Amino acid sequence: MRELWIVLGREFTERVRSRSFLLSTILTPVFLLLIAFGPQLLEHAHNGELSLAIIDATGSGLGEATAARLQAAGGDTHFTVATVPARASVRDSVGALVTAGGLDGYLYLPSNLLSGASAELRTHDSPPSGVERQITAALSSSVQAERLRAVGLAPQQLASLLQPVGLDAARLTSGGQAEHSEAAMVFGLVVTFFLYFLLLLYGTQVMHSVQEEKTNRISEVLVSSIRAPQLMLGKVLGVGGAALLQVAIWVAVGAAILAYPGGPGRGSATLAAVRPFVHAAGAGMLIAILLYMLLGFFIYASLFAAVGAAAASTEDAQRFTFPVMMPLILPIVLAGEIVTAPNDALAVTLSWIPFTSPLVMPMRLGAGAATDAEVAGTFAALLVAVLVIAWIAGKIYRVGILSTGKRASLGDIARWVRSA
Amino acid sequence: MEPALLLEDVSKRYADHVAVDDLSLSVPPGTIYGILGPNGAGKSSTLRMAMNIIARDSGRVLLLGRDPAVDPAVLHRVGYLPEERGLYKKMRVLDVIVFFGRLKGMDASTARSEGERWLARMGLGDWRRSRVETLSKGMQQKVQFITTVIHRPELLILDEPASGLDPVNQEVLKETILEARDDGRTVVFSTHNMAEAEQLCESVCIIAQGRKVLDGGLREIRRENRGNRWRVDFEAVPPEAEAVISRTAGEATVTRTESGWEIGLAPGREPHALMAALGQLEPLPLRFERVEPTLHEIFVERVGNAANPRRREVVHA
Repeated sequence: MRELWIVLGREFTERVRSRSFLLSTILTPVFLLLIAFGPQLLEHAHNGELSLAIIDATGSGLGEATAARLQAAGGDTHFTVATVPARASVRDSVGALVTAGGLDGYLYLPSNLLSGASAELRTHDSPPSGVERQITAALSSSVQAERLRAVGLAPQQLASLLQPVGLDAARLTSGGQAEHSEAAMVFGLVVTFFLYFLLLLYGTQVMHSVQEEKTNRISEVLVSSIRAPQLMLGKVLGVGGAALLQVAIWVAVGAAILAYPGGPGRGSATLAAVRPFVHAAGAGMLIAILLYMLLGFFIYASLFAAVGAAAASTEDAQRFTFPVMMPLILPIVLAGEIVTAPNDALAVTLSWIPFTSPLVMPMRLGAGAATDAEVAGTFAALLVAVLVIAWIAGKIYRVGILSTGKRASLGDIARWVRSA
Repeated sequence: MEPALLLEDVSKRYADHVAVDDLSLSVPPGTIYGILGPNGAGKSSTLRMAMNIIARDSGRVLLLGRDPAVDPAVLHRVGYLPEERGLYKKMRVLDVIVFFGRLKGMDASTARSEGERWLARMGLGDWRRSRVETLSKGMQQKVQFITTVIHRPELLILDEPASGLDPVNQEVLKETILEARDDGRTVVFSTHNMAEAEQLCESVCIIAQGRKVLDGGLREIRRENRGNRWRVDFEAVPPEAEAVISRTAGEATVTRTESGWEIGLAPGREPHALMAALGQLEPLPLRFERVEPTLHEIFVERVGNAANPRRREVVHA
């Protein structure tokens, strides 16, 4: 037990003291926030202005009406719209202007638009997301108004008929309160990305640490002072402690920024966007995420320890690393599907597989899909898996750290597990 | 007295060969004991089994009177230096020493002060805050040696301790081994260098191909294997000496040396007649003595020149 603490302590302090720990503490959140919010920020920056010409061949003022609606719309994009009468070859000359980039695009309203023909949108670049939806909405409203007017309705009646309907989307929590789901969903997604990074970063650190001791023959000296299972546990816990410290730093700094009134964070759009996510998550979800993180770490740290012990060299370790990483990558690749359809067979299956459940369950929790029974069940499955995997990994570790020379084949490793 | 290390009929087989074959040896406490043999003879496997780093297939091991497989706590009283060296490269020198000292049961502050003392003694005092990777290979070897002895083990097991050391540091190593013995510790080390063992060891065990060739006290081994070779030296060689030797030595191999001859008499033939004849010469011989065989000669005589290891160094699973 004393030896375990000594190994744990060395592993922890060496890691926390290293420059890479400081760097990853600072850079990982920056990097992940860029991944999470970058595209949106980029889109906002890009979207500001869109210049559009409307070529109106309907002859019923639809062009002006649509232009007015677009310019009045409060969407992400601000439209500058000019209406052009549809004379011969106007489409060609406006088209040439769009091709040259002098104009972002044109909208052509054919003469038979009112009787069901389609309008045409031609743009210089592919239009930013949301623009098509905005144009369709403005155009539909104009066409509907024109059709209704043709039937003989008065303008006042039109206004009330065409009053748009809002939709307030929220999910009901177990307490029965309506909760705005998108925030929690994004929170779950961000947490999953963090977990993925943490598991990969610290899992491979366990692997490298085992490799270092094996290739430098430090293992030989160590096993004459401490039993191999204790040595492995000390390593996993020491590296895990460093990971936990890093998470604690992130959480503490994040909480301080959120809580500090009038600080630099107040009023910042990014922070304003982050705050509701954290509130939406709730304490139960945070505790569950922490537990998934811990159990997930034990699984992957054990696997990586076994890989480090089985590999004859760092290059050789690459051979085993990919199969171990596969189940980590899978939920990230499928994140979109899991979040949008959190109760489909795919998401449910992945949340019951111990290798993927630590990453899938936070997403499903965020999407409000996981039931309490599922949480309890997947925890139980994870716990059993942790014990089994640690047991097998321990055997590979015990033989592996002392075997030198040639590369171990899968057959060799299977023999180690049976013999040890 | 109870041996510091006792091996009885210990064997280790791997899939394709036998590394150690029914080996027995006994190391008297407070002595320096050499395990000798060519590369691949099974020296490292033997020492690893003594430390219970690898499990033996059969036989008995007693380390300071205890079986390390049953009672691993005894390993705290042993210092082990593996054949291939290595330390945590990114750690600071003193931290590494304290880490290994604590693992062997020392408390942190004792390990620290002992570590400082050893570093100063090895001329590495200024390096205690440096990272291991910034040290030269020789300095790293010294640091590793300190990690082996820091906890004042009763028994030191050193696998090829001199390999990779320059002559100056080999001398330092030799001194520390002798000092450890003078402190009442037992030192067991392996080497393929017979001359090195001859300088240090009181007892040796020579193994080849996993089997014991001979073992015991160096003096006894020499006596039992000394054969019938004699050496005569002159200050100035008298011209008739060669004729006298060939007349009185009988069936013998006579080799000229720098200041005389080496004469291998036929087995069982007494040297008295030769001595008497040489005593008649003028000037008298400076000395006439029995030639003690070197360990290397004994080894070659016993097993032939086993310079070629019969296997590559491979997996020890």
